[in-house]
Amino acid sequence: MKTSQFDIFDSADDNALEAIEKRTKLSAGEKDRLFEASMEKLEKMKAAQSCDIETTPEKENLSQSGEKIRLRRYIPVISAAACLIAVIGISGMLISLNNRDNKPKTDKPVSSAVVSLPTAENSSDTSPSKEKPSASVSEADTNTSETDSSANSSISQPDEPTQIHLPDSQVEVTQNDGDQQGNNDDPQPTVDVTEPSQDDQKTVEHRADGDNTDYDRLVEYERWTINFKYYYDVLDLYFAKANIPHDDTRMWFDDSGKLVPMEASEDDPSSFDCGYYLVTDTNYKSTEDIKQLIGKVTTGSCQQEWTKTLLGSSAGNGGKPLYADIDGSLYVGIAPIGGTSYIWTDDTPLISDMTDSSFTVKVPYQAYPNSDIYYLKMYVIKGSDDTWRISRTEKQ
Amino acid sequence: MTGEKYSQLYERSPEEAYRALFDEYCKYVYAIAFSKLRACGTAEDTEECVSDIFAEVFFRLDSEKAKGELKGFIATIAKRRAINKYYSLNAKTGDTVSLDSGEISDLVSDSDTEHSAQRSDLSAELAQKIDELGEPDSTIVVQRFYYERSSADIASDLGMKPSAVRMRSARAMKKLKKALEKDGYTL
Repeated sequence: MKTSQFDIFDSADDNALEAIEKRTKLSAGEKDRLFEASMEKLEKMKAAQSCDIETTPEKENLSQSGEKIRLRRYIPVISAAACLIAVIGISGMLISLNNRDNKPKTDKPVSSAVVSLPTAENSSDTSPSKEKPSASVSEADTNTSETDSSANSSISQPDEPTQIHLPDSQVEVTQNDGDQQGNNDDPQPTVDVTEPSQDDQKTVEHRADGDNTDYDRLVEYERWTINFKYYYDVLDLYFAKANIPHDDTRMWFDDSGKLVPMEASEDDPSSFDCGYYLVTDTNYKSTEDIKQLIGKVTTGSCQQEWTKTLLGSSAGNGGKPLYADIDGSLYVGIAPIGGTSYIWTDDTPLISDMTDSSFTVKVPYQAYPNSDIYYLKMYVIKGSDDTWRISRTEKQ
Repeated sequence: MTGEKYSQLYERSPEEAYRALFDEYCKYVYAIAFSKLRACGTAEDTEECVSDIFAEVFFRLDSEKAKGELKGFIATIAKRRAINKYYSLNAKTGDTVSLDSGEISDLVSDSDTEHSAQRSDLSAELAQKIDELGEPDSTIVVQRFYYERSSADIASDLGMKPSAVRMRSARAMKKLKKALEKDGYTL
């Protein structure tokens, strides 16, 4: 079996180049920039050509000897520059030697240890001791370190590169976030999670008695289904998690600068994409916002399940939470082929089994990669605070 | 574009002629420059090379009357300029091999011609399979895995969501792998 990679297109032949060319995308801005740069270079080439023509008596031979002529013109300049550099260099050396000779012996130990020449006593010793220089060096080292440490204390360190680092301790805290969810005493709106009994689930048709009650209720339900947006949002956070606006360039790196993977899939060519990205959606600034959103539309076991799924450490994708607070910002773990992706279709949700306190909604959606239309049945119940929440879902 | 067409445009307005030529061949030139510099240069190096190429093309066309299709003429300049750039970049990074060193022997191979022919076959095969993916998948694959552009950038170009680009690229790669495996290649 022969192995091929995309670098096979490097120095490709004309046929392959054409295939690549068709798929080459250059934005209008990039094109303009390239064109302008080309024009600038063209102007320079023209200017250089006219300059050459002016200084060259044999115009007819310009095209053949242009390079030589250009070089010849620079020879005096280069020679003068070289002489100048040599003179400056020699002067500098002389000055530094003079300074060294005149330097008092009360210089800093570091300098004296490093640059001190052997004294008459030392030079008379034909078998130079290794201890003396080492003692001198160690003294110098000590002083150097003192000097350095004082320098360090007064000079602020340059800023770290703008990579995202998170100490391990924070990682653990973040990953345990979901586990702590169970102990979370935040006052979430409470609703009665008892599922309506079969007796309560009378349909609208059975209750129709000529007044507008059922119609009003239907309107209310339908109006509520508009608020499915919130539930869609929650589901989007999971199923189509990459849909959440995020900054593709701001990824989470560990202390060693290594990408923290969302899932380890070395076989997957796109696995380098699997990491945590900074969420830029202003609706979600932290995992707390996601928790609140889940609380807004779900209740009971459904709420717990979704919280655990989105924020818990036991979530899929290698045990990593899908969302994590990193350095005070919210990050989303993106695994491009880590499961089915859902796209909501435009069909109207189907409402059935309506009662005073509950109804079910079937929402059509398209799931990739299967590309079939499915229905998600949601059991919606009304809590004591008169808000509707989803208590259970079923994929159909 | 033919040399005659270019000359007509040039007589009317040199600027217009430059722009028309640039618009027609900029992607082609970019693809050539990128294919040579991908392994050793940055995006800026490629862009610099592209502008060098066009400057030379315009400069030459100013003084020489070109006839017939200009694509071959442009391709020749582009390839030569890109190769020069490749060497200058490698000289900077020290990736060159001295003729005096023993390393040169590593570069010599009896099967160079065979290897080159194999590469050509492979690239043609891959190009064809990518074509067969259909749009937008073929563009996504090339942009993602050859040009190594981010999903967000591709999405912005294609008017899609980054997630959709990721999804499609993953699926397209699977398809591509399968298609190549059938013909005895692995990707």
